Amino acid sequence: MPWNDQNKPNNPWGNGPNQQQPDLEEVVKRLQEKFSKIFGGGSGGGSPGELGKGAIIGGLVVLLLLWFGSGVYVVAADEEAVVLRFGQHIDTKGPGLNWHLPYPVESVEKVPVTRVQRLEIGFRTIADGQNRKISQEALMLTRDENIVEISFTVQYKIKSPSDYLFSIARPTTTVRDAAESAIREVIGRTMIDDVLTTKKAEVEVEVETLIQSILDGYESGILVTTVKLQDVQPPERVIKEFKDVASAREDRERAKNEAQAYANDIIPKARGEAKKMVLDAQGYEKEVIDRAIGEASGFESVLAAYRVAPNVTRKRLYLDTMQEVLSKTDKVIVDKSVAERVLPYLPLDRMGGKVEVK
Amino acid sequence: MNAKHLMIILILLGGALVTNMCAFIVDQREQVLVLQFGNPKVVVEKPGLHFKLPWQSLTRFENRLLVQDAPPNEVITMDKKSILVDAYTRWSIVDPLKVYQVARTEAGVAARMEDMVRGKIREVLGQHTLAEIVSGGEDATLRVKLMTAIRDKADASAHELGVKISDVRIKRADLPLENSEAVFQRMKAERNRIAKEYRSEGEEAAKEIRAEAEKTRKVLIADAYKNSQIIRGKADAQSTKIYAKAHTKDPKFYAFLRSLEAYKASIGAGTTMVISPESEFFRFFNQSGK
Repeated sequence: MPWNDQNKPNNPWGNGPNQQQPDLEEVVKRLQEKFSKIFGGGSGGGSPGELGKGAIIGGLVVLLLLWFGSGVYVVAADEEAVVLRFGQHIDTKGPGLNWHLPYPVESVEKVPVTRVQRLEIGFRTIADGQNRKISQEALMLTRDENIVEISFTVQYKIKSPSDYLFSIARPTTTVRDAAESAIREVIGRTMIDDVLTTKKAEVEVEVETLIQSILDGYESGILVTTVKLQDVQPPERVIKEFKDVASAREDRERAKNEAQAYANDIIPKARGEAKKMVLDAQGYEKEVIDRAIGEASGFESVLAAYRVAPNVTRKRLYLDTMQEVLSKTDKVIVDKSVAERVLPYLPLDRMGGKVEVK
Repeated sequence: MNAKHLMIILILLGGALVTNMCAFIVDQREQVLVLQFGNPKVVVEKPGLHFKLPWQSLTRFENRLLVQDAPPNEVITMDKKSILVDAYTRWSIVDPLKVYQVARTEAGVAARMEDMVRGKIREVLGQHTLAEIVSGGEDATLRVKLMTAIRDKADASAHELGVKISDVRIKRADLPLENSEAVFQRMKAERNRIAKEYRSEGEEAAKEIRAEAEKTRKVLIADAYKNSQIIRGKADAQSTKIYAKAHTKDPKFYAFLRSLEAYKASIGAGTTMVISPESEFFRFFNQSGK
């Protein structure tokens, strides 16, 4: 069969038509039947030469169509297509249905421009929520020669498809290398306490800027969108000591708070006590002065009455008092002349109380 | 008819073969060296369709920026310490002819360049101490300067190889094992010191706050005591004045009255009094009605 021979010129035209071999055969068969009718030959009749001629022409037409058809391509929404003519970049196409001159004249490379790609440095996600640490990448030295363990992610996308394709080889490795180098450079000029506490955001920005400038230096066509520190901590060997510092800091605050609580307890109490003292004194003041005024005016009243009849009043007051006093006491009445001799022998202690000699 | 067909097919095939042997495509990503019986003839850098003589052959070279990531390299520093340096090189082929002459292939020239860069790294870093390389010493940007110096030196030598070195960057400069041990020890000591400092600071602050509070309390109480004593003293003085003012009107009567009161108050039940019948109280005791 001549068909086998005539298939040969297909081969340089690539895989496209070959993959469609079954269709091709079907089409060719149908064409063969048509041609047979046109040229008056019945099916299976006619000379092989005439049949061959018609089939060759038909086959070539079909092949030509298929060849041109192989230039149709679709650019997805997140892609851009770089068109190469004989290996030379001539055009960049956006999403949609497009056509290029078929192989070997033109070819197309699709680049996912809007897709954000993510790199993990210092760790790898092995399953959902589970990470494996890569110490070799994560451990680095700080400015004050401490070792710190940092894992982070870099997100990037392609800002220039042509640079991405034609300026650099191995883009992923390029980003990874730049990121590893950049973080070490930035951490190398930062103090460990800053890295661990306040300056994380600054480190992120600095690393991002640095990676971008390295990548721009390579004209890589890559745009770094985010650098995110995942985990920043002291190495395992010294983590206990770092935690102790944190708890010491808390201890300090607690000691202060306790002292402050003590102060807050005693000062108001003292203030209360002080107020009480002053108020007591003021009460005393009122008390003694009022009593003095009262007593003084009482005395003046008695004095006024006394002046009316001094002798009688004196006598009365004296006798009233003596009556009152003596009515309550035990009495021993002794003549004065006797008293001096007797007194020492009186069992006064048994009589109890005080002795008064008048 | 058959012979004619065969002729056409043969011509077509022949044409395709000649085209295949003479035409060649240079991709944007590569540059091509055309060789005639192994002798370099011409370098084609421009991408597109090109032609050559059928007996000439092609060697293709990368036109993009290439990666060369050598394994970590031990460097002896100026202070005779060893350090592991992991650096990568970004390079490109600028002169395919030279590359072909020197090393034939891209891989060959890459190996040579790697050796050369390693030498430059040793040369530059060897002029600095371990501390300087690791953390920059006094100069925080020293690392960048070192990388630039290595790059410049390497690039200067790279011309002989037909390549250009765009960047040499230190990814890692790790301390040798025994040294990291020292770092860990130092970190521990430092943390312990800081922890102690925090705790002492806490104690200091607590003591100060307590003492301050005690002082405030003492001041408050003392002040109040002072004020209350002043008030009491003034009150006593005033009451004394009031008494005196009244009593001076008849001091003798006051003494009499006050004495009587005192007797009443001080002599109570249980007191035994030895009284002479001659006392004032008994003035009429013996003289009834006289």
